[in-house]
Amino acid sequence: MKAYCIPALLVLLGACEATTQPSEENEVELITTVVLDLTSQTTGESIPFAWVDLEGDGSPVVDPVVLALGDIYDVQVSFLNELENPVEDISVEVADEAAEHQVFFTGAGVFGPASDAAGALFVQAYDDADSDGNPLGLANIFEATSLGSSEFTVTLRHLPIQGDVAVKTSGLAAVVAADGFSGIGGDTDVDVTFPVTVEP
Amino acid sequence: MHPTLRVVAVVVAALVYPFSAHGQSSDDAALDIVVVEESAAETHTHATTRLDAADLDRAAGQDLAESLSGVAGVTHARCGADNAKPIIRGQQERRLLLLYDGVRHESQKWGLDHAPEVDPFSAGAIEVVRGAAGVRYGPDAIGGVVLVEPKPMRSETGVDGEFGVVGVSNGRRGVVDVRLDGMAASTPGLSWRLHGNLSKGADLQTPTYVLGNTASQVWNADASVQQTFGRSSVKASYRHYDLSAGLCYCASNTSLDALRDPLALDQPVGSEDWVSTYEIGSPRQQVTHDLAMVRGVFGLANGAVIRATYAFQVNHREEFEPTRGEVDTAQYDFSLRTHLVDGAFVQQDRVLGEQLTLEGGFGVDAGLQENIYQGLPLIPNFRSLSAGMYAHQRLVVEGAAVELGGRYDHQSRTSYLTSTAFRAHEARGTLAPEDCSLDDDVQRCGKAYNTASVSVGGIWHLVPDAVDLRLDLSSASRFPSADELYMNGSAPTSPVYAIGDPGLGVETTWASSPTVGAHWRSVWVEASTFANYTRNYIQFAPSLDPTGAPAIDVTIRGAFPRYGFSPIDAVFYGVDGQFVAGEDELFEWAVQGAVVRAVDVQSGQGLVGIPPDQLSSTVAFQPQFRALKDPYLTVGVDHMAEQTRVPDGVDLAPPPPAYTLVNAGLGTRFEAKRRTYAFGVEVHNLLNTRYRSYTSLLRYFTDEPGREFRVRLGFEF
Repeated sequence: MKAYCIPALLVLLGACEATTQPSEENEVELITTVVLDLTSQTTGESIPFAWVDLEGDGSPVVDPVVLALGDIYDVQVSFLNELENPVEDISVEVADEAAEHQVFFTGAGVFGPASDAAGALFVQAYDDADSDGNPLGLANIFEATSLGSSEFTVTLRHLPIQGDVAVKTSGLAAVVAADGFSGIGGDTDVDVTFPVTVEP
Repeated sequence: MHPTLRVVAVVVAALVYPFSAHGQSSDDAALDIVVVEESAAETHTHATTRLDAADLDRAAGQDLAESLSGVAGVTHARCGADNAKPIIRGQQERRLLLLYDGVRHESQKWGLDHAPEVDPFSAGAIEVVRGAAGVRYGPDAIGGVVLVEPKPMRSETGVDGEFGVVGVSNGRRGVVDVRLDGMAASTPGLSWRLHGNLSKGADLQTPTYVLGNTASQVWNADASVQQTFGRSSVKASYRHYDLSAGLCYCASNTSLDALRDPLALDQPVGSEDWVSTYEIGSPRQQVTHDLAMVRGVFGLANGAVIRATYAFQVNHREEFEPTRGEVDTAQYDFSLRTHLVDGAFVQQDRVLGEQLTLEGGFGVDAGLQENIYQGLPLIPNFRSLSAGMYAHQRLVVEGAAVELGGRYDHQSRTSYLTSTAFRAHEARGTLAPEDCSLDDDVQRCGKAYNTASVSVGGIWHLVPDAVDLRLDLSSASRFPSADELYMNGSAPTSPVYAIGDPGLGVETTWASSPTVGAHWRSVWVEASTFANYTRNYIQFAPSLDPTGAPAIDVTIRGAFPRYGFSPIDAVFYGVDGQFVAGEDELFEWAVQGAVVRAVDVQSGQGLVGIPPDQLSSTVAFQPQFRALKDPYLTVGVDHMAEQTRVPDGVDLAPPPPAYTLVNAGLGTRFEAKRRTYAFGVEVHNLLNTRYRSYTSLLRYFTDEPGREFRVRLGFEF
């Protein structure tokens, strides 16, 4: 293919190398990994559970979340781009723009502000807030309340200001619980599902 | 004059075929013995509609696709302000060919929100050819061809120009357009042109809410010089197009559930807070298109003509998503650079006998194209080489003409995939290691295609000056585009995971289209039917997993239905046409309509995205006042039926209901102080009806914009 890049054409093309060397060098904020860091308030033990899809090939590697009945956990959520070296921590930017982001926990396994599932295995509560006092969801409390297996979904919603109007408002989690995500504005940046088991 | 169009259905006594592989372009001022009076529309074996300066004046303030939508069989898909795409006989833009001044417009035309980067103000006339026309115009001309012809350059010394302003109520848009043409007395034969315009609009408004983030701004500039030497000429021109446009907040990445949610269907979430401003937020597009070309036309002593063109164009499209932090680069960044050369030989007419003439020509063309893509995973870089050759002959006898043409095209393309993109394909079984060669962490995947097209056509003037028949039997082909082969990702506006199929072959259409035109006193009618069979019609549709269930792709942004590009055999058929009574008289009545059916031959099911049946009717009052030239007052209705032929589960959301819009207009030209002034007001959707258009990308998210007044004032000097 280099044959095309003869000098006379090179002037006109100016792009031979750029064409044959594809890159993703524009900053695109790819997220490859979601990590839930669970620290037991009982044992003080910290265990990370990850949802990883480096290839974007549709078959992510997901750690099943295991909780102990009656235990209460401090849960830190992080969003990473593991294709970067060093690994890029997108959750830092999420925290910086807390007024335009919120993490939601939904699904059959979880009961909390965004989910009123009957038969949920654990209760989630927000443990952080943005400058307006609205929940952010990078820090949370999980309390394992029932034995069994189920699943739950972690959703990072980007809620950028539209014109001068804030899209992130109070009470979004209650809207999600009632109407699902079609009831709120913004874009979904992350939407991943973890299996969860609560053991005795 | 017809209120919206001047459609040619008249019989031309002397059939002169202005053959050109790339359409009839205005640089033929030097050859006006051949073409000045007649457009291709009059001698075409295809159903062809020509929009002249008056039609284009009335469309001023609209983008190209909207300007074409008055033509029977043509509709458009809107994605925002200055962002509509034409559809001809049910074929979307990837199956259409757009020629600007005879040069193929090369852009990322596969995208649903990638409108053609062409300035309608720069057109002196636009010709719309309906139906497959691959032999004449080259690959992609499956559904039709749009020929944008700049105004002719000056042929005598002096200076002239135009100044126009347009105000559009919806979006509070303002447009200013200026053109200057000249030929100095000291340099006879050397004509020049400077032309530019600026259009700026705020967020559009539906009848019930503002479409947040649909503000846009477009500016264009073009310059040309032409030197004529007797029957020969050389022309050089350059044009620049520049668009900044917001993409409606409502069309953000979403889920299928959200698209089908009746609440969201009624009104987009958050729309009650949207106000119309000139500010362009995110998501937005920033698009430029540059075209530089040189053309030589050489009239030989024996009457033959040689035409040679070189054109270089750069299409740069950046799409910005809402981002975090200091990110200021585009998340989707496409650069497409295209070199085109073509040479055409138009032979001298050969008189074979009394009333028997042979016309025709042949030509070759070649192109080199490079695509550089950066951003979120979507399409690969590629470099392609293409070449084509064609020949054409036309036998003209008294009252009829037959023509025969053939064309051969080759394209070889190497795509360059990142190893991540390659692995994403490999995991889904669409690429295997042997399909590509790995070199320095880059997968090179080569493809080569060849295709031949033929066409046979004729015009028969059944009743001279009254009834004529045209028949066209054509084939046309299209090479699969980069997105169809290698797309890998999720476009922001559609909640599906799209994956290309590198095994796709050439899509070929065999088309037949008989057209009948009749003209009696002030009544004329034209009806054109068509039936096309397309082999390897590349359809974007839900993929099935090995068990036959819809395939789902799990990504970090959620689980999306997988959509793939699959080849099917498709049949398109239908009819379009118009009827005019009282043309150019005090009262004129015009009706036009179009019906398209598209069927997957194997399943018998309808295809997705085909325009519903359309019928419109306009009444014009055209009194003669001494001081006014061509005054008119029009009222029309435009009815679009519901598309009921969509199979369940394939489209993302159900088709919207039928709707009827009322439109109106008035205008005139007048002379004052030796200048010609033109004034007009056009009203679209007078009753401010809420509706969604099936072919519009917006229909998944929101209503179409509501009532719009366009006021224009211009003068020529």
